[in-house]
Amino acid sequence: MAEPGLATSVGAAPVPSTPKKSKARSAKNNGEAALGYEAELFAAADKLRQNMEPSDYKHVVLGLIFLKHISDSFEAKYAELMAEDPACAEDMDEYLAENIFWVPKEARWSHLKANAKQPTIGKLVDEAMLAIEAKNTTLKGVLPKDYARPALNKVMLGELIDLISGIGLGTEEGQARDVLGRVYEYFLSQFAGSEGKRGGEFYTPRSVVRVLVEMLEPYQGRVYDPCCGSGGMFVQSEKFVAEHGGRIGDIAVYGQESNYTTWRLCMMNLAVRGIDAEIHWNSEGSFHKDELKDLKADFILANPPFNVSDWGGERLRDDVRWRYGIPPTGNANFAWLQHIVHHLSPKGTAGVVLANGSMSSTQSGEGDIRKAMLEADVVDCMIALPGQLFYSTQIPACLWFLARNKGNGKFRDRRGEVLFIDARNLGHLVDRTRREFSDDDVEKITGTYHAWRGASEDIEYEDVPGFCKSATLEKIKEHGYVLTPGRYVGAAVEEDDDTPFSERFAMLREKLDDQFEEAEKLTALIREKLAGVLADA
Amino acid sequence: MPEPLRLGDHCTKIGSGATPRGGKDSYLESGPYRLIRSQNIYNSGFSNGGLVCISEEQASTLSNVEVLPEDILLNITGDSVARTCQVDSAVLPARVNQHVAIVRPNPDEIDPRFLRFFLISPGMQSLMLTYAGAGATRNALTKSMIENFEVPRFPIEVQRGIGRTLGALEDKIDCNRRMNETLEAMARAMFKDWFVDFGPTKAKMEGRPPYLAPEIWDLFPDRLDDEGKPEGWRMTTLGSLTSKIGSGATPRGGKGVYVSEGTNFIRSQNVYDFYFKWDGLVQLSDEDSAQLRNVAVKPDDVLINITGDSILRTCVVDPGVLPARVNQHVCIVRAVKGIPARFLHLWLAQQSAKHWLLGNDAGGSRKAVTKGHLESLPIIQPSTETLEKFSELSSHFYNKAIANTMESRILAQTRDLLLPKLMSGEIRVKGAERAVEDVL
Repeated sequence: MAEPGLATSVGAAPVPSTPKKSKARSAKNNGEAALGYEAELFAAADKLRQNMEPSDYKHVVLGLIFLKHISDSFEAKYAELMAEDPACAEDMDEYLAENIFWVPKEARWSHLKANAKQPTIGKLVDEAMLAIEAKNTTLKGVLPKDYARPALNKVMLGELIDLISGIGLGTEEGQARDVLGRVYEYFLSQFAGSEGKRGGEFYTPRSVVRVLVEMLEPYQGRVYDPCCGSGGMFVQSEKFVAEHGGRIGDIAVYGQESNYTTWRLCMMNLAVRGIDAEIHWNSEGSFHKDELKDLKADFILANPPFNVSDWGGERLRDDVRWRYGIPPTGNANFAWLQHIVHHLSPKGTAGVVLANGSMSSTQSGEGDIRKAMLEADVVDCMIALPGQLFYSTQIPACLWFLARNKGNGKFRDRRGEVLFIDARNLGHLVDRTRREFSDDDVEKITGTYHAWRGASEDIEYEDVPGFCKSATLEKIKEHGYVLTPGRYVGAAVEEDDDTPFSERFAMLREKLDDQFEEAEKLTALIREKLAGVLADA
Repeated sequence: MPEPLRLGDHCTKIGSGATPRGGKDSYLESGPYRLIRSQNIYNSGFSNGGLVCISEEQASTLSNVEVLPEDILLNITGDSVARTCQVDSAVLPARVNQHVAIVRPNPDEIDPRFLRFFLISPGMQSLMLTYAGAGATRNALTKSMIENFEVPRFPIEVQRGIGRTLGALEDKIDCNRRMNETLEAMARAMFKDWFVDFGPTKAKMEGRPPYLAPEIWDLFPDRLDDEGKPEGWRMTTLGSLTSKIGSGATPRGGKGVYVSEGTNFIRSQNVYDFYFKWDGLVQLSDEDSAQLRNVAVKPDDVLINITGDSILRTCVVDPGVLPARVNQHVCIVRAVKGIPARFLHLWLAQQSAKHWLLGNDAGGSRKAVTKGHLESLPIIQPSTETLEKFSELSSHFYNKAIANTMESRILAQTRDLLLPKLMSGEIRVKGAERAVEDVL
């Protein structure tokens, strides 16, 4: 593998032993808007923000939550060691052996909390961050270190430290760390929301990620995201593994991100979750500097930016990845798709979020690439999404599911077939502008795919007019290789009642008769009234 | 005219309500009480659109704004200020929110229906808007403004007479609207049975007795073919049954190009599912309409909205609106000779056709359907005789509906002409009481 620029492996705290109760709650409560505690906390933090831009404030808050998290983990271990053998408590190796970050004295939360009201608090936080980075090479360059800047209100910072000190208080040790992980993710989603259009660059809404993850079911193997943002795909993948009885570490996580600040958010997000990952950063991005050139992943999940028109495609006309055709310089959609297929292992599957245009566009050779991908039979399933699922855009989006080999024996041999799902009628509005899938929606979509893919003999797949259709490549060819699910799934059965025609017609006739009678009476009344308006001539 | 009445002196209640705690999140889809909001109140009458419900408990906190039958509701803030109507007693029990005032006159002194007509008279409407505009930041009518409204002093019998005269006109307009819905439903039921469900053919195959008149029954094939459609009918595309599919444009100059007299200019807000809506119809100058002569609307043209929120709403043009042009959001679909316009229209209005067209939505930031999409829409082509029969039968329904619409427009014009004159006392309704008793 190429020498990674800032790539590093996040050796993180061991999996917090997630107490059953809280897991059940977070699993059930997929509505991001519905979490009580986190929402209150965010409201409190947002109040302290005053006139600071959410995009700046995000780093201030998330950095502190991260610090609190690693400090808590450290201090828990510290207390344990003090009880067993006080001599070992200050021995760094004891911690590193268990993948716990070593937190020097001056960086411990208790120290910062004690000084929260000092005017020097900004400097103290910066020093804490530096001290942690100095002792833990895997965090080098990850932590924010500009808390001392004059523009940052120190009173606010002190209050924020107080607020974060309260997180997880009154809960058991392990649970407190889990709470911090959830708080980190919740804050990420909320900041994404408040940053509007730009928020979508680092955060994919959780219900969309859940669909991707539960479609692919990454039980074990290599999971890769070539544009991983703040790492939401990995967090959900690990969660999936844990919920299905696996252990964290059953999957190996690989990612690349071109935005440095986003990469830092990702590194912290994964560390908070205790996820061991190899996440690379370089500013040139996955197309021009593919840090994981030789990686063949079993699962690829990605939400690339939509319709990127300046991806530097003109400098990349000839590339091993462009197996199905050279992607146009004016739109990166088919560059992403091909990059992803390239990185799939022989049995690998991928789920990709893209703009709807990718399903039907014929411009600049995109139609030919799509055709070639279909003829090579790498498209497994297409899902049309409802509007308003994303923070960043109102453009309708879809999900592409790709498979390197659709007849590999892992599932039913489905070569020559593509499943189309039209999910445009699913989801519910959680606020005025944003829609989410409920648990039932996710279940309906993924259950359909799994039945079609042949997950088990017991569940038979069936076409449902208006919702899903298994189409042959011939059929797709008839439609000019357009993949819009609406074209295939047909119409739902008309919703109006099934009263037989003769009955319905008789009912209407009766109604009409009554109305004629009423009309006649009214006509007579009006004649009478109007006759009384003018004086007799 | 004698000295007017001060409204506040003759009301048992003038007051507005509140939004229950929790704001709009606390509304229920169903519940024991309705909460009436400004969007339910139009000068043309009470509208059920967006009507929400509240719980017993929420209603109890608003018990002082209980709505009673005959109450006048008046919007007192916001863009819809001054809109007023009488409550539809079907929605009771109900409460109002803080944007709506209940005005409850003492019925022995002021007739509620008369009061409502007085409040929607042009003079009072402009007065209320002037008052409301005087507020510092937003439109608002205060309780004391309402109390100080000056109501013409008529004997109560005269008030009732005015209320009944104008009310009869409105009742007929409403009756016509309902009748048109029934007529439309009959045409649609026939269309669905014949051309979507293939009812007669299926009945024949199952050996059921004829349920249509013999000369109609005989038009239908005896069996379905391999593709599941009546034998001899064929599947084709909309493009092959039309001589024109095309949308118009808006002349340069935006809203400034609309003139008060000229050629009608049809926009998406005029096209509703199954009917043409006259409200908001604007006109273009001869010069501008000449620029758009290639989108001149002809009798029987089918109109369909092709962009925006109202996408795929469709109707057949109302003959009274011609000559007319369409803008870029409305597409003309013109049947070839021998294909009834209503047949194309009802095909387009089906959920399945809309779904097919939207399924082709190629993305972009707005929803849009192109001419190409429309042309390639699959459509069944029944036998010529069946189509002719359908056209003949349905035309009776449609002609009556068109006549009703015309009549309603004249009734509305009559009301608008009479209303201010009756309020000012310029004209009077003779023998009001006697006439009404004779008829009812």
